[in-house]
Parts: sequence; structure tokens; C-alpha cells
Amino acid sequence: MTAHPDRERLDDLLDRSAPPARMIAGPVSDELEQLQIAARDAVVDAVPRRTWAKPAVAGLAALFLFGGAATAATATGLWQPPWWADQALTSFTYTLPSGAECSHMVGVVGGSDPESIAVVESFYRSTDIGALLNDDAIDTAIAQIRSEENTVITDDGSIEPAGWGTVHYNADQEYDSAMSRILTNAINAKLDSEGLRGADQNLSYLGNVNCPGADW
Amino acid sequence: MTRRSDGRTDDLSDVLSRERDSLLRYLERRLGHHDAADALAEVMLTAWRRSHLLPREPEPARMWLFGIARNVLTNSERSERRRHNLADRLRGALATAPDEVRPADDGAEVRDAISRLQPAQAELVRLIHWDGFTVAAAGELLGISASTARTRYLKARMDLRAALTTPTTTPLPGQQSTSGDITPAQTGRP
Repeated sequence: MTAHPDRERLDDLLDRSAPPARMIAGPVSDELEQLQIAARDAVVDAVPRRTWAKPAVAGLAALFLFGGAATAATATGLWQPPWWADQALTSFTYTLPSGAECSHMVGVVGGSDPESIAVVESFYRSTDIGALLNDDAIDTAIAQIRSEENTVITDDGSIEPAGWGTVHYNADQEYDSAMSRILTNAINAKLDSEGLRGADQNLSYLGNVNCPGADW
Repeated sequence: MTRRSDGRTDDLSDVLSRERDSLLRYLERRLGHHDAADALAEVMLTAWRRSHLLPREPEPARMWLFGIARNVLTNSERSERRRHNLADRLRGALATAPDEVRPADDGAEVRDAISRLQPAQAELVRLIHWDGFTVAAAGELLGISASTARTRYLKARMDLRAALTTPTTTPLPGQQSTSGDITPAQTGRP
């Protein structure tokens, strides 16, 4: 393409018209890096926790910050509360089949629909979680989980049957999955009752579980 | 839920490390520095949640990230902007950081001329001249074909050239016309 003087002047003007921006150096550069790490920790650290698959529950996604990292850190006394601990919506405790005591914290509801976010926040602020997670509800949820086909992705990437009756069965993990399912179902039922189920495809919340001694 | 491989995590870390400055500028130029930190936190969280979809090649990976950023911008126009605690420290750092050194002409009149284009044309021009995208890549981000992007860009340039050209004056004998000089023109605004 042949350069034309006017064209070059126009290009210069347009290139220079970008609004002023902050210099990315020093503290800004440092905080950018920290934000990148924090965002990764908020999402990726949640993933290894779920080693076997279960049917997806549409409507609400929970981003748990617990599991291997948190549990291991607790064992060495290094566990730290999440960055959002001072704004937690609720916290509760329960005992796993192994006898490990867990404390579970919930907070930071995210999404794109303010009404849906408010419903979830209200649910956690006002619900008696202990009553919700009663023995009958746990037993029912476990029976349901055992009736489903579960799989695990092994370290070599292959997919194998998992859950009750397999070599990959883990009672603590099953119990915890049952508990999570009860909570998620209850929230989705609340969203349903408000006519908001599916209104926000990005609806999520953060959870943090500390289970020293758990047999994951 | 499937387990993400460490390789994909490393890939996204690398791409974000390369692109985070550009992403911040992209968001800052459209939202201002006060809201850019929260939008960037949203972009990064979304990218990590969807890291299994990250393209392997660098340029498609960059486009994928900016596609997320564009969606975050679009969503922020529809609903109240969300504050992330994750972004608190970056927001604070941006609040006190100095602006980049700029030439005396800060481009305000050119920005004004761009803003008076049709919105799709204006954003095309911004992506190309502010963010350094090719015409085809800018079109891809806007969801239009490369040929449509070229056509719209040429039309935008014509309109901008007209808007930024000093009005023609009748030359006096012995003088040359100044028609065609591209300078920030008087816009007629109060």
C-alpha cells in the first residue's frame, strides 16, 4: 500500500488520541501481578478438590477454595482465612465420617443479575444451615449420589468409575458432596420460587472449607 | 467437573502475564481507571474459570482474552458495575499513579470526532488505533467479517478526515489552498 501524506497524518492523530492512562510501573505493576495470582487462586485452587464427577446442577456454580491446598496448609499450621473472610455471609461446622471437623465459610456472591445475587445472599444470611443439613437430608443426598454414575480422572488422564463400591470411594468426599448438593439444591429452589432460575448464567459464590485431618 | 491440567494453568498464566498491561489499558480507556481494576478482576476470574477453552496459539489466545474483556465491558454497560475485593489494591494503586507522559495536544478533539462516528465504527477505530489490533482482528472482536471491518474502517477514516480537516478557505491570489490539512478542527461545539 502506498503511503499518502494525509493518511499518515490521520494515523498519527488517531494513534495519539487514546485517552490518558496511568503509568504501568511500580505499585501498579506489582498489584497487577498480585491480582493475576489472586484471580487464579480464587478459581483454580478449587478444582482439584472435586476428584470425581457428578451431574451438573444448573443455575448456580460454587467456587470452592478448599481442598488439598487448604487442608495440607492446615496440617502444617499455615492455613489462612480467605481474603473475603471479613465479609462472609455465613459459616457453619460439621463432622466428616473420618471424624474430621470442618468449618465452612460462604461469601462473595458473583453474577450479572443483581436480583439473583441478592436472593443468594439473603438465603445464606437468613437460612439455618445446620437445620438444613440434617441427618435425613444427608442420607437422602448420599443415596442419590450412590445411584448415579460417577467417574474419576486419574493422574494419567484416563477416566475410571468412582464413588461407592469402587477403589476410588472416599467417604469424607462423599459426605461433603452430599452436603454441597443439599445447599445448592436449596438455593436453586429459592431461585425457582422467585422466578429467577437461569436468569443469571454467571451466578456463583465462593466457599472456603477448612477440614484438618480429613481423609480426602 | 473435570480436572484442569497444570499445562493449561501455566499457559493461561503466561498469556495473562503478557497481556495484562494491554488489558488494563483497554479497560481503562473505556471505563476510566476507577472502574478498570474491577473489570480486569472480572476478566481474569472469567478467564480462569474458562481456562480449558484457552487457544494454544499466542494470537488466538490474545483474541480470546480480549473477547472476554469485551464481554465484561458489554455486561458492565447493562448492569451496575461490580466491585471485587480482589481489585482493591490495584484500584488503590491506580488512584495514586501518575498518568503517562503525553504530548501537549491530548487528542481530546480527535476523541470527540471518533465518538461522533456510528458506535460500531468508533469502536473499530479505537481498537485499531488505541489498542493496536489489525483491522481484521478488530472486526473479529466486534463479530464482523474482515471485509466488513475494512469497509467500515475506510468509511470511518473518510468521515474522520472530513471532521478533522480545517475548513477550506478561498485562497488569495498567490496563496495555496490549505484544504486537506488534517488537524484537529473547530468542531462548532460551544
